[in-house]
Amino acid sequence: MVTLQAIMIGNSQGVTLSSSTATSGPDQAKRDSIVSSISSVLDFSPYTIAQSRYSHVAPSKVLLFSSPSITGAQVTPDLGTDASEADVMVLRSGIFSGVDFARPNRHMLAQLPKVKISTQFEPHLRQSSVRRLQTLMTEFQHSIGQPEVAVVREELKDALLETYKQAVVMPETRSFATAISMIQGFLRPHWSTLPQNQIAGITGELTWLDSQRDLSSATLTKFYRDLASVVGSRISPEAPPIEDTDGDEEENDE
Amino acid sequence: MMSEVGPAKNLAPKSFLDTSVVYKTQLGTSLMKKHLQANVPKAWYINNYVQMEFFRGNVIYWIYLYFESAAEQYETFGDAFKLYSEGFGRQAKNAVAVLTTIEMDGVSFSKSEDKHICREKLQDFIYEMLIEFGESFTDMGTDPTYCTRMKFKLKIPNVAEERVRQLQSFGLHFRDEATCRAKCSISELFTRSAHRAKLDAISGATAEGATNDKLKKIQVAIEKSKEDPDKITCKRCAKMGDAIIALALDSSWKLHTMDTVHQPISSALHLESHTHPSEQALAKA
Repeated sequence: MVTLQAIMIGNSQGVTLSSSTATSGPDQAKRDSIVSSISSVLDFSPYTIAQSRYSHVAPSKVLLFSSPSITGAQVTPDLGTDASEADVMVLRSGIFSGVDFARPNRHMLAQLPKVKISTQFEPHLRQSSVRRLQTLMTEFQHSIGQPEVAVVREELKDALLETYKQAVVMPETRSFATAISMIQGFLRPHWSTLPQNQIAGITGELTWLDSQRDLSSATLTKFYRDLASVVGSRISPEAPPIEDTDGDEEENDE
Repeated sequence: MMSEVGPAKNLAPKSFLDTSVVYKTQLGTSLMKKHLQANVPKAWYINNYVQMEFFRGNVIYWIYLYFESAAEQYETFGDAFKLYSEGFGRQAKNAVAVLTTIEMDGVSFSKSEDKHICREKLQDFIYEMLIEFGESFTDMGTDPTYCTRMKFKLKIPNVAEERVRQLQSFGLHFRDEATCRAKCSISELFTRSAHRAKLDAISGATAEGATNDKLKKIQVAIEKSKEDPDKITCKRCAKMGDAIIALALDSSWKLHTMDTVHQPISSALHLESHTHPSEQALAKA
């Protein structure tokens, strides 16, 4: 999956323009359509021409890019090389000098794909979500024993679910969703009895999670192990009795 | 500080967990988990066969439900859940019953808009259980059957896109009993003298009441298998699973189980065993 995005660092505006897969067939056509839309709205030629026209401009303000190896907006020291790759589009400072942003082409804007905020990819979603969850966990920690504890707890549970729903929809944040699911699983049976030091421990584990470069299988396993050491038992369903697991429901075995 | 003569040799038997205890350590109530933590010395050992039994009784149904629930005919996740809860017998019902805890995270099995999230939660549940399984148990390395149904290892992939394909591959391999049976060594249990002697001992064991009924089923399966080991199927292997598990052990092990049928089997093989109380008995104590 390649996400085609453009982010202006200079004024902190960010927008995800669309998503596209592969580099041929219908997806390629879709991507070309998107690029064409961008060009029309922003009044510049297709990006390859734009690169050439503004190749002398330093990429200090405006930035770009998307390829499988780029996890977010990055300022690259070698735009020429990066721009030569198939899924990289470079917009340079000064490229919008002739554009009247006060009067954008509203018709074309309406045709743009659904806009998403730029934090919906790794590691930005993870970082912003962890900060939010840590804040709520700290609030929950301090609310224990207070009349408002149930309200704060519900807000934290809602935040965990909301974060899960956000993370689970994209492959690149899918592992983060699993990490959130682990937290839900560990907290699920313990909400009413969690001591403050365990909540603080979970908050600490979130800090570690946030510090990881990526959430590999080994990272998720360690996160699980550390959560278990902080909280203990993971899940406590009232499981039905399982008297016989030996498959003797069918008498005929041949 | 280590003694000059070295650490004293630990003569205590190591803990081998039967599938029934493995299940409770993974999915039991808090009360049961605390009991097992307190009464089963670590490290906790299992073998390939016990792992296969846990997967056969639980994980494989979760995987089947994951794929089944994708079908458009199910408006909600709960519709597919109901099929597995009511349509495939006691094992499937028990296996999927634990999944209801997913709803405690705020999603609903009965809402069509939550169907996708429920399926993703199930996928995470499967992988979390696999991680927990790996963290909890050590493979003791001996499975006299060399069961091949677990040959395809299931482990959370580094790349999320590979998850579905991995689960599908595992499910297809696990259900292919004919291929697995052709590669396992269950027949040799009945042709090699050492194992054959143990099986004969189990065949001669006795018990009382409901335990005897279960023992008889095992003994019947053993006797059928003796007649023609090459005709043993995975289903019949399952019927004598408790005996097969005991065959892997010797006096250096203590078998922890919740199944009373292991008492006469262990006695016949001169094995040390501990039958732990049921959830109900534990709650009443």
